[in-house]
Amino acid sequence: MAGVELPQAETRVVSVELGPDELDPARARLAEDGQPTSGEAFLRYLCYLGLGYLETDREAAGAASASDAYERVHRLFRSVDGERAVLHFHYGEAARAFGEEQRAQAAHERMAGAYEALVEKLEREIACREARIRNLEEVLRCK
Amino acid sequence: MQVTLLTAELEELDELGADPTRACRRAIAGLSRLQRLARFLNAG
Repeated sequence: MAGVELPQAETRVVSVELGPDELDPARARLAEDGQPTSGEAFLRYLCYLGLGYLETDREAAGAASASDAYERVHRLFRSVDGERAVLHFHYGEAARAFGEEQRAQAAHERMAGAYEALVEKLEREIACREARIRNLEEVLRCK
Repeated sequence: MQVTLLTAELEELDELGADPTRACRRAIAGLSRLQRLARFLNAG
């Protein structure tokens, strides 16, 4: 993926000290938006969303006025949006390539299926002719 | 509760002087504010 800086794939397991009383209302809100509401995906979503909020807070705190805060936050998320658009595009490309691979696989399977059907047909035909020959031989022996 | 995060994201949190628990709390506060705003707009 040229031109896109993805973070390193290194991960760490960390603990989140939150109880159900704090998590459940957020879970309900995310369910309305079709976002993850269970397991690690839910916690990861909250962490990343929280990171976005914290970055916004920092930008807004350094602003001289409300309009400056708006300008800074807008700039911050415009760059995020740009990266997201690029990632979205590459994801779309990858998904399309996967789709084409799936279609090629399906065509291959259809061809293989047709070939198997042809072999079965030929085998039936051969069995039928062999039976006819046996019948004919039987008749000739009896004469 | 345990969660696996990218080291890069954890470093960003560190830079902001926060940890995953604080990030989650901030997200929950933001979601709750959005919900209140949505209720207010729907009521109007």
